[in-house]
Amino acid sequence: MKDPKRLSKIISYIILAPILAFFVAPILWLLVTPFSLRPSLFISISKPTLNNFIRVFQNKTAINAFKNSVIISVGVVLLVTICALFAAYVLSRHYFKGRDILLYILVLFSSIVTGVAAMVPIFMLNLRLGLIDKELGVILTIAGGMLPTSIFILKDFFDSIPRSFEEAALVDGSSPLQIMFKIFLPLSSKGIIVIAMLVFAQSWSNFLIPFILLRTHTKYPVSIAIYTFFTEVGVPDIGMISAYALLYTAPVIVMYFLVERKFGFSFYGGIKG
Amino acid sequence: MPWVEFVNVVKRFSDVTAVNNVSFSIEKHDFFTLLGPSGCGKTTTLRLIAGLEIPDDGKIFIADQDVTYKLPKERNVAMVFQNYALYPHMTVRENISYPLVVRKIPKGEIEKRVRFVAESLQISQLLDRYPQQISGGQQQRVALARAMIQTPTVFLLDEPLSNLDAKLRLEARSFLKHLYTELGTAVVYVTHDQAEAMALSTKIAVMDNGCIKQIGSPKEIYNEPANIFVASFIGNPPMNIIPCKISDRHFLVGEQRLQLPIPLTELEEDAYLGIRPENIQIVTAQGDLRAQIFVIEPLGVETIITFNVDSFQLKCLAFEDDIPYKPGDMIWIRFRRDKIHIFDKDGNRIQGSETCDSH
Ligand SMILES: Nc1ncnc2c1ncn2[C@@H]1O[C@H](COP(=O)(O)OP(=O)(O)O)[C@@H](O)[C@H]1O
Ligand SMILES: [Mg+2]
Repeated sequence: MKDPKRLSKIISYIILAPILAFFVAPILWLLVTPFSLRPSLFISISKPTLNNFIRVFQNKTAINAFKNSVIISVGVVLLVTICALFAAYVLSRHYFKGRDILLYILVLFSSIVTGVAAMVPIFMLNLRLGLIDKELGVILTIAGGMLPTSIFILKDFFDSIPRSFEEAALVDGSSPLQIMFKIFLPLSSKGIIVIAMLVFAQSWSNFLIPFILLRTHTKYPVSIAIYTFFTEVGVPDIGMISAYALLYTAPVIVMYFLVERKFGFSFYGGIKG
Repeated sequence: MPWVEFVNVVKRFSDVTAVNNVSFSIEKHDFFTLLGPSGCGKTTTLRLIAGLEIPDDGKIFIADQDVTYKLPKERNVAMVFQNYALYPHMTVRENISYPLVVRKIPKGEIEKRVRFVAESLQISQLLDRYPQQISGGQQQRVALARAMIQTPTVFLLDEPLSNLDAKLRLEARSFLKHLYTELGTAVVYVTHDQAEAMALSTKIAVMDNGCIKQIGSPKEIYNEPANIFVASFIGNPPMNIIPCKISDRHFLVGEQRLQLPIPLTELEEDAYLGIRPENIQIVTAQGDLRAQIFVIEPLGVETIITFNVDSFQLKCLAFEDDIPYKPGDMIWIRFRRDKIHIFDKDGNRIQGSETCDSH
């Protein structure tokens, strides 16, 4: 009776194991190599050392790039979250002709805006606006690309919050600002945090746009700076790269776990499809 | 001047006319109920009073003021929503005090009133819980407390009992009636349950399809329904409505002839005869109509007996302990003469029909 079941289980494990290894190996490498004395492209465990990290922290370019990444990402997060909040609120709570079409067109074009195809126009646009080699240009461009999707997701989340809470507050005598700050924002905080996290993770890892728009090396964020870790002869310094890469991924992972513990959410509610 | 007044109010949603030329007036001491089937425009009417909807036409007055285009916060009304709409991120205490907090009432005063309201609604022990942590009946009381703390000019309640189970609903209904005497101002109550409306109201407006079909005291609505819709909506089981012909001052029900002199002379041929179940008697001697028993449903105090008269099915209520009949029996039935209603072929009641002579 049980045999066919067991057999199919064994087969599925046999198929799953190499796939799992394929995905786990890079992560394992990332966790092991920075602490290794003789770092290589293979996962090899030796006596642990913090030497690679010390070298990163002594490297001015590396630290400076971190600062640049923070400026760009925080700027994008603030800009996108605040704009998306207001836009999504109006789109969710008020109906006007062509609202849904507008929304879908925005989402459609947003994938083009940040796509490779639009790089030349984006460069030209920033050139005309005098935003080449400025952090503001990078922030505005990344934010512009992420805004439509963020509005779309946030609107969907707001749609899932019943209007009766706002209506009850209205009858209870609240002003519009009181409704926003005492009722609506607390009720939608989860959705807003999800958006902020998504935006942060994306702008933190964005390579293409700063690479195209920034000229000065000292303005490069981590995603670009990481490519500069070559020794004089042109051989990559694997120890430093791996340590730097771990530091680079840490904020996103830490942030995710913090939020997860505080709110205990998995991506749920308003976010469909 | 009445306390709350609607004058020819119309509200449309794109192609639906939710409220169609509605007028009524409510006195300060009234418990006014909007009664009607689902989708007839009760909630929309309530939201128009609260200011959550603005009418397309007509005027609304509250306490002598034209509030037609006023914001909700300028109307000083309190509303209990159908799903209670308790703020999930606030404790019960914060929920109840919210209307006072946004009106910037001093903290000490708020605390005093919260304590008083919580005590009179018996929810003092729940103040530090969140709405998700209390039962449906308790949530309903918290919603009432949030309304009561405001001393509004009018209370608006949208089907506040519909989310409770049957037993709790009866309990809450009695409690609500008791509470009404303490409120000291008008209540506008929405329900689709005619028993609730009868039990609680001083005045009922029966609605259908956006229009008010009749306004009156529960007694008037029950005893003198203005039309077939009202007649068959009120009562449990509802009034029997029998299509019949009138000729030579007699009813013709199917093949049978109801020997009943009618004091009215101007009558169309086609009409409807209405009689409430409790006003039909089963008699041993010759009665008004011959009928065959279909089913007998004993309910404890009363028994519902359903029988066929020609192609019509009628229900009657009997209060005897033993019903000496079984399904299939042929019986005679008799109508209480002063309780017969006659409706014309458009369904409107013909005045005076309840005073048919006994023969
Ligand atoms: N916001 C709205 N948009 C469109 N139609 C609505 C809206 N609110 C109510 N309606 C329609 O108006 C009619 C009356 O609704 P409602 O007042 O909620 O009825 P009730 O409370 O008596 O069940 C219904 O046909 C409903 O579909
Ligand atoms: Mg309703």
